Amino acid sequence: MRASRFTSIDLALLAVAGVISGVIFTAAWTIYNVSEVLAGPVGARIISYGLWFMGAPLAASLLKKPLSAFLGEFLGALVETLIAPAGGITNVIYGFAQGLASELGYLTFRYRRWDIISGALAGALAGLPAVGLDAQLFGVVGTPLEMSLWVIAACVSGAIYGAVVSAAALSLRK
Amino acid sequence: MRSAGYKVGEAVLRETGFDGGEGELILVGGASGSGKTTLLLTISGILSSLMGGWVDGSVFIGGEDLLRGDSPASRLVGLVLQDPEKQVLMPTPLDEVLFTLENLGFDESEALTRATELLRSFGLFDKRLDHVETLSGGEKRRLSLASAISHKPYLVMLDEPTASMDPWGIREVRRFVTDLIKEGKTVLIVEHKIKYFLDMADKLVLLSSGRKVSEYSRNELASRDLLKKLRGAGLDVEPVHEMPESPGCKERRIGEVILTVEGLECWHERKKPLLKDVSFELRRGEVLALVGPNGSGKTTLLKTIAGFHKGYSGEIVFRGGVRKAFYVSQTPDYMFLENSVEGELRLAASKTGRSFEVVAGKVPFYEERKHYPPYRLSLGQRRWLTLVIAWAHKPDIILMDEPTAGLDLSLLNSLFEHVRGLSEGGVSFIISTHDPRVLLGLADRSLIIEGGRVKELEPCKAALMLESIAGVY
Amino acid sequence: MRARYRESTLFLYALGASLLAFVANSVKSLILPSLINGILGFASGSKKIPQKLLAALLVLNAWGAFINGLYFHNVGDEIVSIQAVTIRSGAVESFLILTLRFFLIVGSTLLMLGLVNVRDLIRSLERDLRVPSGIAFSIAYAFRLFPLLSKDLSEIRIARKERGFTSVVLSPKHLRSILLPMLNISYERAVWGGISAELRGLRLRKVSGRKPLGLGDVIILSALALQWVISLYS
Repeated sequence: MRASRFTSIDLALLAVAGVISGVIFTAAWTIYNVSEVLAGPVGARIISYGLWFMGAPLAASLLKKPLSAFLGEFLGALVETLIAPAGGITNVIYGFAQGLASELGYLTFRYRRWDIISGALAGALAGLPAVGLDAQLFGVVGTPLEMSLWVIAACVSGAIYGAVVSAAALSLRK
Repeated sequence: MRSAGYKVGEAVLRETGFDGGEGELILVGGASGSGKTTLLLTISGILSSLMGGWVDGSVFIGGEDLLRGDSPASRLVGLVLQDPEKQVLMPTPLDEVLFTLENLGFDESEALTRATELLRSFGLFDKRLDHVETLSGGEKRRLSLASAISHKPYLVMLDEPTASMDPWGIREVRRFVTDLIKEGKTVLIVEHKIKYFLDMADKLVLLSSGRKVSEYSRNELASRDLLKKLRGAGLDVEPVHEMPESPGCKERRIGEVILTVEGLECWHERKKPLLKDVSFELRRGEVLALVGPNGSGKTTLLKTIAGFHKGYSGEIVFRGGVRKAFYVSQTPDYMFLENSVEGELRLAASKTGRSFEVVAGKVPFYEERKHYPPYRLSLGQRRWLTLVIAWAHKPDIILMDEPTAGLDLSLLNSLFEHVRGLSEGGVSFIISTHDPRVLLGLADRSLIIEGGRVKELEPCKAALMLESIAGVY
Repeated sequence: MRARYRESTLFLYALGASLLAFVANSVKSLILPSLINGILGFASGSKKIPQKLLAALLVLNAWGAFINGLYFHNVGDEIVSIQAVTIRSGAVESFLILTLRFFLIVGSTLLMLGLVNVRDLIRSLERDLRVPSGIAFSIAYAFRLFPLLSKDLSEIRIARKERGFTSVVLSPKHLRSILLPMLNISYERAVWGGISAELRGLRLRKVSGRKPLGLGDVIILSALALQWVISLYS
């Protein structure tokens, strides 16, 4: 389970996943802010949250190894912090939590499935810590009904984008 | 290196053996797909340690078997990859050179001294802490050379060093190789344009479909007949001035003027114009070559004409009902949007209103490759495909950026045929290039970019100029 | 005299300050750390990060905090009423808290980015914090790739335009059609990058020589601890 089990090519691919996610994460801020005005809190979460969860399924679909999901998400968040400090280093905290949640998705399949389904699950699971951290950090606490709607929205969004990015990444490998 | 011989799995390479001594240059030639790159990966141990391949046989350097030890190849071998863009790993030149040294456990202060020295001798010292993406193409290439020899390897290998290189760069690599030989290193170059190194080689090994087909010593290489034979085998053997059936300079001005460029100035930063006072015209069906070193502004000029580069002043006027020029990037992959050749062509057909059958009919490898993702085609096929897509959009002018980089002789000829066919149908081309082959085999006229200005020069003279810069004329 | 410090200590500082932002949940407990980090951070960060970007960041966050406050915390005494919108004390307080958190988080991050360059930071993470070499390599390589990928993106935009597509991404399907070429190009590059790394001995890499803790490290970490203490007891 150590990073040392990754080959050099894996590490390079991890970097690629990190940069691409970092760029997407940075762009997601604008998308989130615009969609919150247009579509309200639930709509905004469906449209944008999954974008922030893409690092994990992207890296996992490229590497297909334990821990790749976590590292992909975490690295993406780190890159986001270094290139455009929109959310400051909190990104790293989000990335850490979301990465772990997504990793759990792949663990559920005992690291045997690296397909669109596991990718969607990994994306969906990241929605839980995301909404939780929102509540803690940004005081985004609503009624229980609202909260569960947000969680569902974040998870649905994560599943959609997780599936999209896994499909794209999986089509690369022979 | 005493001897090397191997059989590699799945018949990529078999029964290939040769040896080389200190201070010798071994040149390995062969067409695309002959197994040249696999050979380098095998020798360096990468094939078996990283790529999941297997190797039967051995590679000896000074009594040590590279394929048996614990990754000793890193210490003994330095590799320069075809494209510095792919070789450079670290954000700054200093880190790039330090990377190898630190990996191999050099003492910190020694690594720093050595790296600094090396960067100074390669003229990169002042930029050692800049981000590598701010370096010019030439500087990046020098960095890739410097980092390959920082740990003083015995064997230095270069993978198609001239593939995407301008003649100025080729001259630099030739000097680099000469220095290495003088220092007593063994140098191995894999290349299909062997003409650029033939005069320095001690040995030429020819590969074909993964097999060594022949080996020639220095003395044999001096013979004219042999060169003729090699040319027949699809290798770019002779500098252009020695080519027997050189078509010579011909005039083929056809059609009316469809593009006039007048007093054009282009810049990335307003105060530092890249190009000044550029004026020329283009006629229907004409193939115009744009010649100049990397970074001289060729790509910017093409993008300006295509309407994608906004930093310019001056006039670009399309005439005769022409609306727009279609820009084809040097990297064909940028243009693909679908996951199969068929998908790409259907998309092109639906976007342009052409019939799918006609578009697909322009692709000779369509039937056999239609379900392939375009990215997995060979480089020549990918370029062909981008050209067909460009053509489908019915442009009157196609702008091509360095279309011949990395193409061997047979791929080159098929690309030329394609371009010629289109130009006879009335499409004009502006092709940026530093490849003498384009100037001799394809271009009707050529413009040279020098110091930000352009001047016209006959294509064959331009070709000779390029070869002389490279140092083989 | 300049106090010597490890670059990674600033990383820890920024991380610690941001965690504080999670924990502190009143204007009173946030105000001091936020002001300190905000002022220092924006002052040092504005040298490296374009001021326009910083300004945009500020406006965007203030707007977000405002909307957020209106949506979720608009309770308590009425303060202002503009036509249909009534702003209550809860919204104002929540706006203040979020803005202060923003200053604390972004300020401490900017402080880090302003004082160290990314190159030194990555090296220090590997050397002083013992981030595994492989991961440190990935981070460094990611940093090297970033401008290349932005170049790819602009080239892909050109190609899309040529082929009659809009350059705006509107749907997951659109996103896929941009991701696919980006990934394909990067994939090939990464394979060669991996080969290059392997051949140059990445697997043998062992980093030695931790920089000793300097006076600077002590000062930075004490400053962090002090902020936590002030915040928790105010």
